[in-house]
Amino acid sequence: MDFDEFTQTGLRPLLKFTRVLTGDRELAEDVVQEVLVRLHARGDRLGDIDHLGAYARRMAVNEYLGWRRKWSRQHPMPVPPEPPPQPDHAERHAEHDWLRAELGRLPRRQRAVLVLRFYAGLTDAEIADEMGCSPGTVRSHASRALATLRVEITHLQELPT
Amino acid sequence: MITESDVRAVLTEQAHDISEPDDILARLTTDRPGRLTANRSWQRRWLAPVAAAAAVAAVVAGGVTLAGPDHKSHQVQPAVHTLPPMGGIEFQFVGDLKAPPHYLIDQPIFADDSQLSFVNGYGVAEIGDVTVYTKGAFDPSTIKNAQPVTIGRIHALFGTVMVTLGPPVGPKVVPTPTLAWQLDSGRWIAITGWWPSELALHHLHLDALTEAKKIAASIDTSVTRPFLIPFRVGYLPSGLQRAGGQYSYPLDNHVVSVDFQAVGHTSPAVHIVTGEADDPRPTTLLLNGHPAGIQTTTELGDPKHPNKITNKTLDLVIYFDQSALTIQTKGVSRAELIKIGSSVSFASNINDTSTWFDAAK
Repeated sequence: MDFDEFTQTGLRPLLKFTRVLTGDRELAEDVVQEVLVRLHARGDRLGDIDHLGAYARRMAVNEYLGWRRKWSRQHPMPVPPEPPPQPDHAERHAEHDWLRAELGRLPRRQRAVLVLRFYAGLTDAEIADEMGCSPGTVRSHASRALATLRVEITHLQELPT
Repeated sequence: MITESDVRAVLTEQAHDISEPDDILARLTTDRPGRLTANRSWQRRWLAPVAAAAAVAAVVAGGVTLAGPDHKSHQVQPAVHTLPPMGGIEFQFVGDLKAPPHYLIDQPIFADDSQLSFVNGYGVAEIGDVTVYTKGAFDPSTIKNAQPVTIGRIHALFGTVMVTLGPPVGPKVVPTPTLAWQLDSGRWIAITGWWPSELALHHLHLDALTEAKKIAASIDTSVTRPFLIPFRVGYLPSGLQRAGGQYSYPLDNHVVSVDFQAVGHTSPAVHIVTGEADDPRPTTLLLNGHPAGIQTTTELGDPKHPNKITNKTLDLVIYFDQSALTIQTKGVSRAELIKIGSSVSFASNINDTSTWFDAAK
């Protein structure tokens, strides 16, 4: 498969995967662009790669894990503007909203493991291979992530309605 | 009860929120035949000095293309230079930022008026910041409803400071709990964060003042530490000063960068960054025994003019110890760039920071 063929058949799945992986549309687009630039730079050697989609997905994971999340947040301002409006707490308590937020707050490696397991459908061994770690580490990340989500969910259910 | 099916459903739902692949491809531009360049979101919408430095680091870590193999390699003779005393930011960490239990504090980033460290705590990334400002860069009157607080021998102010959060959560301005005090050197140090909205998302019932006091008590501001980097530069064009520096995030792939810029300028004239070398690439030079190559990088696009050239640099990439060092320059001639490159010394083992150099020397 050459670069053009990949962009026709493999780009949309890669974009979807990276969107899920990052939880952020623009970051996903940035990561995918980096992957495309790097794939393109390989030129004719791209045809030597088996399972190009999986290869590109691994590149996206590596790119995401190395990406700084929040830039330069510290800018004291002399004149405080009006505080932003508070979100509607009633809406925010919807179960999936909470889950979505919690997924977004997970450490990156934990989130990556969940995405590779539950979205990409990989086994722990395949995830380990993808992330360059041991299956034990994968299970540890998954366990911690799920434990975090369950703790949050338990707490959510205890909230008064 | 949330199940794994719910996790799967929420993840799958996000997959529908994507741009059209053709739009992504349209943003990629060709700066010369056969080479693509990305047009990233930070270029499209928002840019800060630290972000620029870090983002360039990401570009370099992601791979660069060197001049084609049709060019004959040629040897550049080693040149021995000594960098003259230089102004700008001080490449020295102020304070030993030890973290109290439940917390991790990242290595600081050097910006033009401060050194900034991210605080991670209770499993939450970037729950707060520790910032050491240069003299005069922090105005304590910006602390709203400031109350005096004593932590051991520290006499601090605690209140709220308006902070701009960067992308992807921003840019947006939020009132942020801040504990700040002045060091003997006249600098101010501020511990900022524990955003109530973020804590609520994690059901963390943390009191910002209590947590900031824990961090403050663990910091030893009486010491300084060197900013260690895996290379040393012996020559730079005259008129430049130190403008920025940082380690990678996370700290596991040897990405370290330093910036130099002319007085009064806002973007680096020389940005030097190390990172992993992905693949062997065609090189055209041999600098002190290290294969190297020169390329031009063109960045395109802003929200209104996607094809407009926004940045153009002349880059030298030098390969060493299975790593790559990129010297990215603006307004520097090819001859000067090679002179800079030939003045670079490398740590004997990039995996051993005891062999790294003090960036201040």
